[in-house]
Amino acid sequence: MKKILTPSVKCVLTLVIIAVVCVAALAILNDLLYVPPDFSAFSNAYEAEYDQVEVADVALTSGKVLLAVEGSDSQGKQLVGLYIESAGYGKAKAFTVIIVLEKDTGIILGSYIKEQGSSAAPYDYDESKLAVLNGTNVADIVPKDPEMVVTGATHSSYAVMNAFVTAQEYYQAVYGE
Amino acid sequence: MKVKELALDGIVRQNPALKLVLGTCSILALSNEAINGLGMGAAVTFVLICSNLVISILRNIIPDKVRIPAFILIIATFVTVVKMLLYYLGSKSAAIMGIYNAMGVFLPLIVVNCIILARAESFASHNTIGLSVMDGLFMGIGYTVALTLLGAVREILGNGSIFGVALWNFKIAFFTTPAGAFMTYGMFIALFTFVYDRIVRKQKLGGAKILKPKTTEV
Repeated sequence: MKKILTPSVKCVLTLVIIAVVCVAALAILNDLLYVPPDFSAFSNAYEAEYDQVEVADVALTSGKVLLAVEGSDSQGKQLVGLYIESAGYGKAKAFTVIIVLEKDTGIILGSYIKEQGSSAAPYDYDESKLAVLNGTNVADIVPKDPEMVVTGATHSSYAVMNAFVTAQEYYQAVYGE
Repeated sequence: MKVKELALDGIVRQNPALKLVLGTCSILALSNEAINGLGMGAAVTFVLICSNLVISILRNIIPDKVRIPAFILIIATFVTVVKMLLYYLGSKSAAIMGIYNAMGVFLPLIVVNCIILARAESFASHNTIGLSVMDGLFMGIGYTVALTLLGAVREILGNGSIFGVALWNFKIAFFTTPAGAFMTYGMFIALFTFVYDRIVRKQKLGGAKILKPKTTEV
């Protein structure tokens, strides 16, 4: 036994034992302190129950999808939720926007601006004008005039529009025909 | 008596931030607001106490040749615990989540904070459990007080607020920048050294012993 426990073996064994105990302690604590993902922010855009799905690797021109969820509302309508970081435009840095679409048609049912990038003016978001953004064709949702959608902050309006474009591009690539 | 000595060492004589100038990266980065300084100080104190405790318990078991990797393993475990704990508490309180987010990469980097490894190597691996825990506590308090005061000064001058509460509209943006951090930290060290030296000199002349420079027994 003494021959096996040379100083080098003893050193390695000590480190291995400490590492195993540390990993076991962390595993137990991780189990105790685990915080399940919170999708309540998606309900700010459209009230429903959501579950996380894997984000598809899709080429997008105007932003990136950070998180994707799927769910259904109380009437059984199937939904797709996207947490998008839009590309900034002009003075406006990236916005993070949550957009919920109907899974069958791609119509945008709701959106919620989670974080606003820096801009000269606060973004005056008008939900009642969201209807002009409905449609499955990316071309439909590019506004001819930013004033159609927002007032007060042109650069911010384009930054947010980028999020809508990203949502439609992602939908077309993953769920479209 | 020994506890008093340890307290004076940790908070004044060997203050990690102002006397030993250790862990300066996190000090400069997280002293932009008093609350961030307090949060970072609390996290470092927790890691210091726990790692000193475990290292002191294992001091006669860990072979000398692998003591540094073993210390790092133990310290890394407690840093991960702090990270998980802060995230858990942050999910219940937005204020804690704010501190967690502000700490960013500096939270996992506590692993390589010189203060913790230095105390493990120079104190905990040679002293009893009780003394090692006390050393961790007082070193942590010294670091926290320095970081919070530095954060408070920078926040008052740079943002016109203290702990997020607005005081006035007068702001000097320079103090919120890295250059401002360097300058304020330098002024703090200079002021601390000036006051400390004066007190020591006075005590030498007057024969008092309480702040006589002394290195911690190892």
